This record gives sequence, C-alpha cells and structure tokens, in this order.
Amino acid sequence: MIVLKNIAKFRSAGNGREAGLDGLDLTLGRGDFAVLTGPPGSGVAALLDIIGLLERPDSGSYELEGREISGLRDAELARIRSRYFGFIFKSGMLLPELSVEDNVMLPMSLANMPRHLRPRRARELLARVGLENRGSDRPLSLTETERRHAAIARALANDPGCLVADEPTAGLSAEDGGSILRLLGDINREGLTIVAALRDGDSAAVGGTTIRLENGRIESIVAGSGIR
Amino acid sequence: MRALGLAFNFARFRVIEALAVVLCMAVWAGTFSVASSIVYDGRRSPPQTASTAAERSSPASPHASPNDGADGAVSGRGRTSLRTGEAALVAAAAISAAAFFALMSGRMRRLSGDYGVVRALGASALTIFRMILVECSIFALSGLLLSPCVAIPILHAIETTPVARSRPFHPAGLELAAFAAVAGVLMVLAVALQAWQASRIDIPEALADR
Repeated sequence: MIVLKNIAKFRSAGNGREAGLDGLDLTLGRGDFAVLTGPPGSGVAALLDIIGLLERPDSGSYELEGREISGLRDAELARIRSRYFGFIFKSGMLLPELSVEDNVMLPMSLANMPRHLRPRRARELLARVGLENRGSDRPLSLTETERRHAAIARALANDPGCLVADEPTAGLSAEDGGSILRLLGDINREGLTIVAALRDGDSAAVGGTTIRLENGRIESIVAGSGIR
Repeated sequence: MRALGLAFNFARFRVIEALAVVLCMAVWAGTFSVASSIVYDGRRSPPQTASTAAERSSPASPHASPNDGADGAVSGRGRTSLRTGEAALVAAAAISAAAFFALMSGRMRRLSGDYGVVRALGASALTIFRMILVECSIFALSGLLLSPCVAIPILHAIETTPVARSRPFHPAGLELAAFAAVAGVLMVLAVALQAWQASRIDIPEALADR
C-alpha cells in the first residue's frame, strides 16, 4: 500500500517557483489500477515521479507498505525502486545497444538476481508479452508496439509490487494502444498494483480508478468498473 | 563487481565508439608528449651530434645521458630552461587531460538518457559513479598504453628533419615520470568529475531529454 500525505513539489517558474503538487493526499491499495489524468502542468508527471521514487517531494510524507520512506538515502531508494517498482516509460526507452532479452535482464542484474536465473526469467516474460522469438533482436528492429510490450516485460522483471506507467499508449494507434491496455489489465487482475498516466479516452477504456489532477491538486477521483 | 558488469554491458555494443575514444586519447597523448619533448629538449639541450634512430625512438630510452637531468640543476641558465621544459610538459599533460575530458563529456551528454533509465531501474548514484569510473579508466589507460604507437612514428618522422638532427631527443626518466604523474593525476580528476556528474543526473530530466 502507498500512502501519500500532504505532498508538495515546487518547480521553477520565471524568477520564482510555483507549486507543481500542492498538499496532495493519495492512498493506493494493493491491486488498485489508478489512472492519473490531467492537462499539461497539472502535476501528473510530478506525481508519477514521486510515486515511483524517481524524485523526492519537497515536503510531505510517503509511506510504502507502512514504512516512511521520504527521508531515505539515495542507495536505499534505488534498492526499493529496483525491487518494488516496475517502470514503463513513455516510448518504452529500451537501451538500443542491448538485445531485447538483455534489456529485460537489466533490472535483474541491478537487483542482484543470480546470473543463471536471468535468461530463463527473461524468456518467460518475453513469451508472456508475445515476443518469445524476438529476444535476440535489437530494440530498433522492433515495431513501436513491440517495444512497448518489451518495456512491459522489463517492468515485470523483478516481480514488482507496483507498476508505474507513464503514458504507455502515447503515439500508438487506438488498436495498438488497446493491446497495451489489455495487457496491463491482465497484469492488474493478477493482483499487481498499477499507477498509469493516461489520456482521458484511455482512462475510460481501462476502467480503473481515475484520479484527475488540476493545478497540482486532486480535482476528482472516480472509481472504475474494472477492465473492459 | 556490479559496476564492472554494467560498464561492460554498456561498452560491449559500443566497440566502435569506444575504439574512437581510445584512439583519440592515444593521438592526443602521443602528439602532446612528442610536442612537449621537442619543446623541452629544444630549450634545454645545446646542439649535439645526432644519435641513432634506435636510441631516439624510445621515450624511456636507457641511452639518455646521465648528465641530462643534472645539467639543468647545476647551471643557472639550465635551471631556467628546466622550469620552462617542465612547464611545457605540465601544459601538455593538462591539454591531454582536457581533450580526454571533452571527449568523455560529449559521450556522457549523449548517454545521459541511458544513465537516467538505468538509475530509474534501480541503480544507485554510487553504482553509476563506479560504472563510469571503470568505463573511463579503461578508455584512459588504453589510450595511454596505445599512445607510444602514435608517438614513436611521429618521432621517427621528426628525427629526419635537419632541426631535429641538430637537437636530438634525450628525455630523462625523471621528466617523463613527472609528465606521467601530472597526466595521471589530471586524468583521474577528469574521470572522477565525469563520473560524479553522471551520478548526479536528475532522473526525470534525463528521461525527458531522451
């Protein structure tokens, strides 16, 4: 469970700074599918970064599984990132020099998973996202949709407790985006918590809890009806 | 160990790029060691008879005159020249380090997005620091080891000129050691600065830039 209390994050604006997130409270239960939406500058990206421990809040409290983590050192935050979170970045962000399988194994090596277990785990995950025959290929030889699938496989590498997805369908056609959302829905049904920044249309398709942000504050929370 | 594995993982598919950095490093180090030796030798040594090509080709030549180092220390004129020569060596070392720093800076800028991804996936700042330290150190050492391959042919070419015949190259071990020490220290500082900068990247910013 993730509990954020009174989270504030400031950003530079002109000569001074303004609140990107302004005293925000949010609780994410285990197995939730939380969809963050909002216009540009509403704080969606900042909130996603803070939830995924990519950035520290300027003030407020962050509890992860009952443990306050906002004051932890960088090395400890990195360790939690590697074991508890799986990341699906905008446009996949696979490392182009590594093969698809090596990309999937990268988080495993960062989490110190025994070396002999990594290839098998990577192949299983690639099979799960429909890329069982593309492990030895380079990311640039994959289609954009396949790269997103590979990114999902990489995000699942260390069996995380929570997936953080930053616009995983951005730039894809409705059909390809739908395949990504269905895959995320399947993963969520297995009990994995997912926090995703999505466009308004996509949030309706997912059917998760839609959290709408405006000016760094939560404007509305609409409980979903499950994945359609 | 993990940093070494990551550095290897990063470097192995960038063989051409890595070779380019190493070669540039070798060219810089070789060229500047030659240039500084000529400046140093020209200012220090009175005209002498030409020595053999074999004697002159080795920067750490055991045939260097045992009085070479003492000359500068004894006479007032020699002392001034020695300082000038040392300054030239230090300048050459500094320029070599600066060139290396510029090369690696460009590389870091291009790879900052990748480092951002690796940081996000769970690498700590210290892991990234070590990884870059290993990577840069391998490049720097490879470049320095390869630099004689660049320096010796240039020296051979220079030795055939009339000017070089009148001012033969007799470096003393002490000066070469000083050059190596200064170059080494500057190189370590350049590498450490690169690694520190890469480890301090802002993850969301690096991801956004990518």
